[in-house]
Amino acid sequence: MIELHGKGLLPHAVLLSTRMAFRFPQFQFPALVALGLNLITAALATARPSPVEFNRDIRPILNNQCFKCHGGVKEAGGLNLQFRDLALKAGESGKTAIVPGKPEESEFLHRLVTDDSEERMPKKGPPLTPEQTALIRQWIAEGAHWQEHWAYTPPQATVDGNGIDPAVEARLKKESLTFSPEAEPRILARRAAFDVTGLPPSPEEMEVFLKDQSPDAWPRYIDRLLASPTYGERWATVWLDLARYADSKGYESDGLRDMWRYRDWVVDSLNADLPYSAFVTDQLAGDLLPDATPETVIATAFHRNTQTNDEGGTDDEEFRTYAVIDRVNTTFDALQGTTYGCIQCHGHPYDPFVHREYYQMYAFLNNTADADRGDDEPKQTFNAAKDGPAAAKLKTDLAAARTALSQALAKAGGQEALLAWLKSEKPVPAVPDDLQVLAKQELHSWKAPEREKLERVFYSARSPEAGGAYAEVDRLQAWQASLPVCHLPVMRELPADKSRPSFVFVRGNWMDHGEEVQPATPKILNPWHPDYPRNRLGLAKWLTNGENPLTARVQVNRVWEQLFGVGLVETSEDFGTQGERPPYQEILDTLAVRFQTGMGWSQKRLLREILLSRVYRQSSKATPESLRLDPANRLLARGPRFRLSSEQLRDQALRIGGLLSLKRGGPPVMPWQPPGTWLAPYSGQDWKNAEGEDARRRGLYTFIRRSSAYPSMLTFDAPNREYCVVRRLRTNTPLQSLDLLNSPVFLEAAQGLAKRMAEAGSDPEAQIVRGFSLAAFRAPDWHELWTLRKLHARVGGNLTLVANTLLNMDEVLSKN
Amino acid sequence: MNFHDHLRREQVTGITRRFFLKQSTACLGGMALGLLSGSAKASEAAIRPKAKRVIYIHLAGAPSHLDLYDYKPELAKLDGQLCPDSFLKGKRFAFIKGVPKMLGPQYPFAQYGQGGAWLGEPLVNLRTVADDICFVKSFYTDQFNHAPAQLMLQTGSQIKGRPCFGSWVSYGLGSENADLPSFMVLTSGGRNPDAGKTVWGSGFLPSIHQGVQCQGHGEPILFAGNPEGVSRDERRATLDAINDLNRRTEKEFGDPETLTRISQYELAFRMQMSVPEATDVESEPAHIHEMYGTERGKNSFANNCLLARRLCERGVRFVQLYDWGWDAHGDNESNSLHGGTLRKTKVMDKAVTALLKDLKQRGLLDDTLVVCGAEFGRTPMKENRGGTDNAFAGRDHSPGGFTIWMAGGGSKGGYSHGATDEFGYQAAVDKVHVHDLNATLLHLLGFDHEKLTWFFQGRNYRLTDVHGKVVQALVA
Repeated sequence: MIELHGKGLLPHAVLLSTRMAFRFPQFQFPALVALGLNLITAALATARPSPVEFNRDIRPILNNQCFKCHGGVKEAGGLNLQFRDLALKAGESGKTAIVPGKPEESEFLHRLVTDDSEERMPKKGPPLTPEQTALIRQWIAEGAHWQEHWAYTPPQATVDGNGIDPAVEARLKKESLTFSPEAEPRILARRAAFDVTGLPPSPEEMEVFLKDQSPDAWPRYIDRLLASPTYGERWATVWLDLARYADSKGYESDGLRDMWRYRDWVVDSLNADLPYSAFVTDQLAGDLLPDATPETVIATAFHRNTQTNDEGGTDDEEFRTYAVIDRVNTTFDALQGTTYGCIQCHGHPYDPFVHREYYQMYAFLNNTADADRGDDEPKQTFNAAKDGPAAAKLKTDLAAARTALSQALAKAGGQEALLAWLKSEKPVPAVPDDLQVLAKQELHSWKAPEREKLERVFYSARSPEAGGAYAEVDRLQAWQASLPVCHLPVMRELPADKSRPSFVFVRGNWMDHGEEVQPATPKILNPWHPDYPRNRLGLAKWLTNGENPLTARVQVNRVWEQLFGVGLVETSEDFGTQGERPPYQEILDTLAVRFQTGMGWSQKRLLREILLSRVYRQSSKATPESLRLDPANRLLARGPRFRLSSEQLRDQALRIGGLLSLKRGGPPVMPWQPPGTWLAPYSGQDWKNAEGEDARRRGLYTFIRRSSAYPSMLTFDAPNREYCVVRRLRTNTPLQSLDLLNSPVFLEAAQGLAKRMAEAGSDPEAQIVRGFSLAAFRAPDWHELWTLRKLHARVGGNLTLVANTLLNMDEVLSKN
Repeated sequence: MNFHDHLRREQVTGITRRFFLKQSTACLGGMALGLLSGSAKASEAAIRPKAKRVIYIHLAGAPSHLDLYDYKPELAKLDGQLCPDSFLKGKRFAFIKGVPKMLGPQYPFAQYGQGGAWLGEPLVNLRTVADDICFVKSFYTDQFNHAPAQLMLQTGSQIKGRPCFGSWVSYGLGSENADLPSFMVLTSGGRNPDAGKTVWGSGFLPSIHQGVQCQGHGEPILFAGNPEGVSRDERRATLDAINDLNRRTEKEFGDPETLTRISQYELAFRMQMSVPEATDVESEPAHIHEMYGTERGKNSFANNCLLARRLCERGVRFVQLYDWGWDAHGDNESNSLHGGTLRKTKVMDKAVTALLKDLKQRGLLDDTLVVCGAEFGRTPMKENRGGTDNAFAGRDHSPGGFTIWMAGGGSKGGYSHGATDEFGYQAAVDKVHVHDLNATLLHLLGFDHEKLTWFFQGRNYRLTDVHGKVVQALVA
């Protein structure tokens, strides 16, 4: 039979990884052990200085060889090795597994080394190596001390300076490596622009930076980027993957749903640099805050992004339950980097979380009024004309226009002139017949709209100024009517007398109730404060009070991952014991401490700090030597280089083509896609290709229907937003090439770029140089120019195809 | 080869480092399998896989097993009588309310072939290939609504977000053809399946393994065609330039991803040729069109069956067909057993039979596994939406026992496995759960379902979750 374990290593890559592991012993490759390469562990084991350290020496052995049967899922023979108190108890055999200080009396060790194949552990698998058993013997002799996993203990700030460079410098020195030189300014400026705003810099922004000779040119450039409203749009994309933001409900008919106001809240909050602690609190419990506002209630739509099932005949309670489960999982995936979903059915196989704790968390989230109903209630209406940013201006402008109108009417003779005309019994020219008749009736029989109509015709005919004033009022009223209204699903807590009890679901089955549970947080993490309310607000406080060991680390890691392509912890979705032990834990911890203290949870300050570091500013050029020593660049001896995201690719192409609309916010838009793409059953809704500006908005604003997400986004690894996705995998496929070559948006961008190239005059060389510079922020070298001139000739001077080529350059598709 | 070249080659064939089988497209051609056969794991291979590729036909909406495959004379006797309480107790239904009436088989049944398979009268063609088919008559699932049940069947979970069967196979086996995707999806019936495109999504597997939908209209694969007015020579010229510029970039930055990108543009260019050729159903001779019952120039189930054969012939590893519109509640004519469902049955019967015969005459049936099924079966009760009889004969959703069948690819032809109770309501003898079937299908493809895994959110995930047993009786 064939075995295939993803995320393990290619057999042919083993050589490489073995080298890595030797070189960097703290890298963990669980799969290596699974592949039987105990060689490494052995080599490491002999190198261990005394005393044994549980996390470094013992936990990996337990994780890979023991927990599968003697952990949270199964407690075979009554033995659970996850917790010290359990491991020190007698098992079903009556013998004690571990007797601290006495290896010879410990059944655990005996069963590992015995020659009796019936008794020997692991039962299914090769015996432990002599080095591994020696470590365990030593560990028991030294008292069998358990250690908490690093991620569950509070971070400490141990790195000086910016918290980054000294740590990398020290480590590189130890490995006989050096920093790469700083990247060229134009490359750096483009890199940072993508990292802060998700867009390439405009040629003007680039020029200002390149001309700035002052010593603080770089921080000033970063500050300009951070002040741009495009910053919020770029980082909202990251958050919305976690929030599983979409514009539809999911499941069968996947009906459309107004969620966009929440998306705009995320963008606005990021732009306002709302502290991360408040950003999280508002989203979890904005409705429960003592000073709740409509804005903080909008934030709670975060957890209303769960799917609702409108399919005929479905059990609403079943799908409400799934929604609450999704909220529990999302809360832990997004905010705690913890695979809490594991304990939905049983104890965690590796990490110290127990089954009941899942439902204690569930109990926090089980008491909102939503219940998988077709109308998605409760909702909060947002009317942009009344509540939006334009509302104030609209109000003053309308008031001013109305004042101007009444003044114009007064000037035109006012009421008296109208009455005089009516008395005159002479028909007024330009007044339609029906109004002539009306004018002859008694004043008291007029209805208000008729009177208004009559006045309008009369005064407009009399005075052009009055006509203009009427038109201005009309224009403002039309604007007011065009502003969107959003009926946003939000969280609302049930009153105490209607609150739902919460139970453990036996083996995760929602219909099989076990013991009743009350809201509580996992024991292994920071303590609960007795003065916190046992509801979502208390939960938010517990997450953001600075004592939680994961909240800040997870967010710092997320920002790092966006900038460097790989997080400080590569498994950003799993900080648990099965995740990666970060090669630079000291950077993660130092930044986490500073993020939640000195920086006051400011995401902009955190980002700025990293962008200013020497580590970030390095050139990304790899040499054969650096690739050999550190292929994945985990030691950070060079800068990051990787393909742009789906949204960035789209936004960049439109910007280079001179077509990108920077219109912000509002309902999602429908850029071109082929007809018949949606076709969801029992749903009359259809995709209507947007026209004008809305066809060229940033990718963030593209309509996301879960059952049929926008094809080009999926092709470039964007999730379809059904569930919280912590990390997008980056792929490189032929469908991507076809999309970049042939899809309408990239073609339209090529046409736009061709037009800009043509502006450089009739000389093909000048056109090519202009196009190249717009796409890559540099002039082509002679070889590139020669290649492109040859192309120009081969395609009969078709500039669009030359532009299409420029937009497909690896250098353009990547952050360099 | 020096170490650096070696390293670079490794990194190019792996599309993203540390994500195992992404090279399955970069090194299309069963490379993944080849690599593994050289590994320590391959020594544990106990069997040679019989099936090399799969055609999986999903009749979305779910036809009635009681009128096509599962003959129940006892049910006929109860026709028109009130349903016994024991059928209703503790059961959840989509639409049945109160006490419905029983509904006997709507057609005569007879036995066919050496294996004596029972088939309903409408299946006039399928009876001729009954001995190639392995019927699983005791199949059951956990879900009774379309979208969750479709997800359950195809991804092993009722909740969206897991990789589907085809993605697992693409991940495990890669493609046999360097110029076509390894997993393609063909839809008919005018709608996508109820669970949306998620049923061919790759979930947490890399997106390279998601099903590539062959469009019913316009160009078969999205953006495979050049824009109007751009010739193949001109496209070649742009690719030459792109690759030339990218090679220079690779020299400068030394990024192995750039080399991968060059190879993917070349693959894309080849796909532009191979896809129109592979999907050109029109080029088939008239007697083949006649055999399948195709509708020229239209998007139809029969056309998709023929297209599936062409794709398989050309090395596409997994072809998934979704035909929407099989729901048969009887609340309107098109949704009733004698109306819309019967019309669809006639089309399906002809096309699917043709597919089996056609694969056989080309020697492809031995190593092509054809599966035909649906997300659940139908109740032996007549649906009474809201408590009163529906206008037409129809049945509600019934997940507890129904029929799914397979043919070829090492499955046991001319065999009927297991049985439902005497009314065709619940699987009773040799029950086969969705996870058991998936374990068995993977077995036929040469995989141990417990070992085809992907590490995600802290644990190894697999198609069969933590369940599933291979049903050896289904294996030839």
